[in-house]
This record gives sequence, structure tokens and C-alpha cells, in this order.
Amino acid sequence: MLIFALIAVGICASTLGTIFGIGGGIVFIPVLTILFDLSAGEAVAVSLVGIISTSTGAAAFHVRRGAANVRLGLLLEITTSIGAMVAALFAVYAENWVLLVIFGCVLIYSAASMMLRKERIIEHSEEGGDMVFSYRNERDPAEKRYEVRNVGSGLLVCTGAGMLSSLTGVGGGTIKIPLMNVHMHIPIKVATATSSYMIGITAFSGAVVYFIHGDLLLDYAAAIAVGAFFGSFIGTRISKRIDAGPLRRYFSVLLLAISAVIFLEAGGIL
Amino acid sequence: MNDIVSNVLRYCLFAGIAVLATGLILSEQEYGDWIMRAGVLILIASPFAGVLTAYVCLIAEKDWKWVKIATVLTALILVFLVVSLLRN
Repeated sequence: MLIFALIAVGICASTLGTIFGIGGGIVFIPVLTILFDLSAGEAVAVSLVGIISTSTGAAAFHVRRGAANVRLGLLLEITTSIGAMVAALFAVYAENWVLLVIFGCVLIYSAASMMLRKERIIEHSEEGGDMVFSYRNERDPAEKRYEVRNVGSGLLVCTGAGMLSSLTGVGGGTIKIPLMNVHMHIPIKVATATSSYMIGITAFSGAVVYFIHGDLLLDYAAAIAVGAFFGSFIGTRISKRIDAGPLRRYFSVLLLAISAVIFLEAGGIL
Repeated sequence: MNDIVSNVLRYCLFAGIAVLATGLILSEQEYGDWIMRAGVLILIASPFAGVLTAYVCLIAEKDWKWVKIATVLTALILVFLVVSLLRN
């Protein structure tokens, strides 16, 4: 019975995580600690395996259809990883509730930016530029070019996203997607797909450490991963059918909901 | 590059999930834990396999600017792993 419940959690969290490119950790960790009575460390370890299953399933799909930008993902992942590394070294000096409040405020700002500002994509760039890429949208199969702007400042913010996600345990996708979409002018479909690709890479290092130290509850991780596998399959099929406009609106609402959870956690209620 | 990276991610994921599901079914057996351990290892290695595949594809495409970026990322991941393992 427990295994089936965990598979169901994996399916739900992964479907949500795949549609919005956020991995699903924001769902996995509270559910595993509150409903399944795991310690925070155990929940994080199991969650990382679930995130990898979600992210790999989504990335395989998005990379094949050209929605995920592998090159850009590799670039942004560099500073995200540096942020996570630096944060891991200084984690003991940081008050967790202060970080959670900062994170919550960043999410509210991101949600407001996505709600209030129209998506601005630099579409008619010349071919062959360093930061000009193309993608295809399921709803409109013509190839579209876009130019990535503000790369330097985007990389800097990714360092901050890596730090915050490493210190608070909440996935960096919630910061990286608005950053890519609003600040770097990357289409929302590409931003969510690229975020899915990046999240797995970020989770890999943490998961390996838990695995080698034997801190992973194998049966929990296996059930969550199997559920997440099916969830990523469902999520990719749903995300194909959602247009960019509604996706931005839904994502803003999701960010507000996540920030509410984070404030509850900061206040010690969750 | 996209097709190759996607295939590597897909095959690693399918292999990992198949082994994990087998381990779950056989979890009552003495060797069930070992099967799940192998499945988790295959699964968590998938994203890094994707990075290494992209790296090789970029070298094959002689896209040197992005090869440098992939080199830095691969080195960073390995350094992070070693530092984390040594610290714990």
C-alpha cells in the first residue's frame, strides 16, 4: 500500500514539475516529511531521485523536439553550480528562515514580473549570432529564432539561484524560468524545457553523495522514481497542449502558491 | 546533437526505471536491495551522461566555444563531487 501511495505522489509531483519545468521538489519534500514521516535529510535524498527521474523524462522529450536549449543549459548551469558549491560551504552560517523569506520575496517579485510584463522575444535576429537560437512550437511548427540578451547579468542571477536553492532545498527552476523569460528574453516554452534539462544536472551531484553514503531509502526512492517517470510522460503531453500565454499565467500563480508554502515553512508552521 | 542527447537520456532513464521496478517487485527477496541500488545508480547517472554526450557531440561538431563551456561545467561537477565526498 505504501509503495502505491509513493508512486501516486511521484506521478502527481512529476506531472506538475514537468509542465512548469520545476522538477517537483517543492511537492516531494513537504509530502514526504508530513505524510510519510521522513526526516528532512531522508526526504531530500528521496526527492533528488524523484527530481532526476522527472527531469530526465522531460528533458529527453524536450531536447528531441528542439525546445530545450542544451548549449544555453550548459552555460547557465556553470554559475548555478558555482552558487550551489559556495552555498554548501557557507550553509552553517546562514539562518534558514531568513533565506526562506528572501526566497519567498524573490518568487513574489518573479510572479509579479511575469503577470505584469508582456513576454518580449527578440525574434528577428540575424542568423549566426553567438546567442541566436531557434526552436519549434507544437502549435505552430514554423521554426522561430530568438536572441538571448543580458547573458552576463543572467549568469550572475543564476549564481544567486544556485545559492538559494542549495541553502533552502527548493529547486532553482522557480527563479531561473522567470529570469530566462523576463530578463533574458527566452520564450517561456524554451525556458521551461531548458530548466527541466538543467535541474537533473543540478540534482545529480547531491544524489550521488547521498547514494555513496548509503543515506538513501531505496524502496521509497524506487517507488517515487517509478511514479515520477509516468508523471513526466503525462506532463510532457499536457505541456504540448498549453499555449505560451496561459503557461506564463499559470506559472505566476504557481510561484505565488510556492511562495506561500515557503513563508509557512519560514514561520515554522510547515 | 539533440537527437543523440535525447536518446542517451531516454535509454538511461528506461534502463534505470526498468531495473528499479524489478527491484521493487523483488524487494522481499534477499537480492532485491541490490537490484534497486543498481537501478538508482543508473538513474542518477543519467543527467551526467547527458552532459558528457553533449560534450562529445560539441567536439565532433568542432563548436569550440561551446566545447570550452562544456569542459568547465564537466570539471565543476567533478570537483563538486570530489569536494562533497571528501568533506563528508
